[in-house]
Amino acid sequence: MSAYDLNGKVALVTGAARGIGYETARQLHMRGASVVVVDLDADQAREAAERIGERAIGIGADVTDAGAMLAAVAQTVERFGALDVAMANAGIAPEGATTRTMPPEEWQKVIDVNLLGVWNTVRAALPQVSERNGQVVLVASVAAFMNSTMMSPYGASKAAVEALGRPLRVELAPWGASATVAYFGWVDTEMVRQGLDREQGGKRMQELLPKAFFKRIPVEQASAALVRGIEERAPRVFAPGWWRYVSALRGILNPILDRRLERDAKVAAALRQAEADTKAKSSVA
Amino acid sequence: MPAYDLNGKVALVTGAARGIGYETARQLHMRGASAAVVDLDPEQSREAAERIGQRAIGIGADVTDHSAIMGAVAETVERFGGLDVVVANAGIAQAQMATTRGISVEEWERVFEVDLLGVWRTVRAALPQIVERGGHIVVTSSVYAFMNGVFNSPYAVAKAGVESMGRALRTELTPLGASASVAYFGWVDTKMVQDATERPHSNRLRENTPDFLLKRIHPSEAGAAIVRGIEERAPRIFAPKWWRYVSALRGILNPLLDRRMEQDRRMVSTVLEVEADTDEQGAAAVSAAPR
Repeated sequence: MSAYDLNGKVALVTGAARGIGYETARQLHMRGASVVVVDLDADQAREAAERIGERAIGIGADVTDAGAMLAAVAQTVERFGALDVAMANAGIAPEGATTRTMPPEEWQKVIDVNLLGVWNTVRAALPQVSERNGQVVLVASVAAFMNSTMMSPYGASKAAVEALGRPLRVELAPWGASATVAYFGWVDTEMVRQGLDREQGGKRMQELLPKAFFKRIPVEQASAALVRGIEERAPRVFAPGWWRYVSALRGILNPILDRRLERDAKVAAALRQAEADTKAKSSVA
Repeated sequence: MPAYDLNGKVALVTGAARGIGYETARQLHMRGASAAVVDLDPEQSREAAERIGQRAIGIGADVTDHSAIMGAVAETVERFGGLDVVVANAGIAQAQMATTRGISVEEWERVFEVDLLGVWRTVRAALPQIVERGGHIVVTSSVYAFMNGVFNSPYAVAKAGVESMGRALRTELTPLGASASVAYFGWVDTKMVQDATERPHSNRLRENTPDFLLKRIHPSEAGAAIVRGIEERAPRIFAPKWWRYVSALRGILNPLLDRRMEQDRRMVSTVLEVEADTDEQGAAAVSAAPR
């Protein structure tokens, strides 16, 4: 497919008040696109849009609310006349816990935001995107194919997002539109700093695997890769780029890595500790 | 890990009134396990349990209903004194082939609700017993966990989620002396698959697929694979077996197959026909399509 010129296009990004969403919206805007910053909190969304500059508006909308996403798209079309690129980026990470001990509401909330939120965003945007030969970008994660022990809803939601993006790309091709799945490794965002660091299983995994796996990249680098991917209508965007090779080898590597993780004494100790912690916490509550 | 002896164990299987679930319950029972047959309709569940024999009970429960599935586990424990093995197998497919753009929101979400959240609820309800008794969990995924889910996106989305959850679950259970398997089936001759292949346009997809990929196995073969997998506490169960190699090569094959599909001109016309069928404005949209 030919190069896609972002100049004059209209892009909507969810989860764009900060992190990868904000930075991508900013860079899309620098390429000449008008941008719609969607985030949970309307004030934060508007502030982010102001920082980005003219041709940017902020909208407060919860991605788990299908009606709110339809309204956000409608508002975008009303303000800028159309919608060309929709980036379904909003996501949350659970506090680390096993599938057994994580509160059911939390497990389901992660699925609601990370998967159903992407679905609501994509679905609301598709009429505009297919009509205008546009694009949808689905933000998955390397957790789509890595073992997500201690954060099973995160892995399940990201694997599911990948599985949504692939057929979508085939189904959009006749319309001259396209879909991209984005896989980020460790990006230095608030979600990673606050969420994934706390968690014992994740820490042990960091010790088990080569350090290179966990080197964090700046948000700017992740967004630049994504913007390039949009300009190329790439099926997949990986940042850091070497995750592409891990993904290519996933079918062979995963059974080996899963087995190693499963038999590691320190992972086992961390898991038992996490189960004990959660139990203690819930008995207090 | 030592082989797991099913004799005297208690197993609960969802979606067990027919198809792979029924065959799994029946064969677990043949190995000496007591079996709880869980399905949507209580009558059908009980009939299936009767066909299986003694030490089998039928329970009507909807996997999308948290308290119903908790109730099914409680009833099993009350009747048989514990629960050692759970096979979270209940699943549905969408009624018609449809694109992600054209499918009704309700139907997309319903498939997802049953096929992923239903599996999670079943697992979650059974986990306390499974951990306490060093038991085993099987989550039924599909080769759709890694194959392209064109015209079937909610199914593929759910099955990919199930696979991911099953892998994490296994890592989490091993230190506690329990275990989990992910089961991947290709085409099994069940009512779900029969209905799916009778849908309009599904022949168009089959035309483009080599015959050996479409050969269906009998549900009893799928059930046997699950039972063997439980006895071995296997991480992955594939039936037909050769899907194991497709899975191993998925990281390399998928980008190639996806690209081929996306550039296939017959696929373009199938997409437009499917959308024309599912969307009332589709007929106009086909003629307006850019290429």
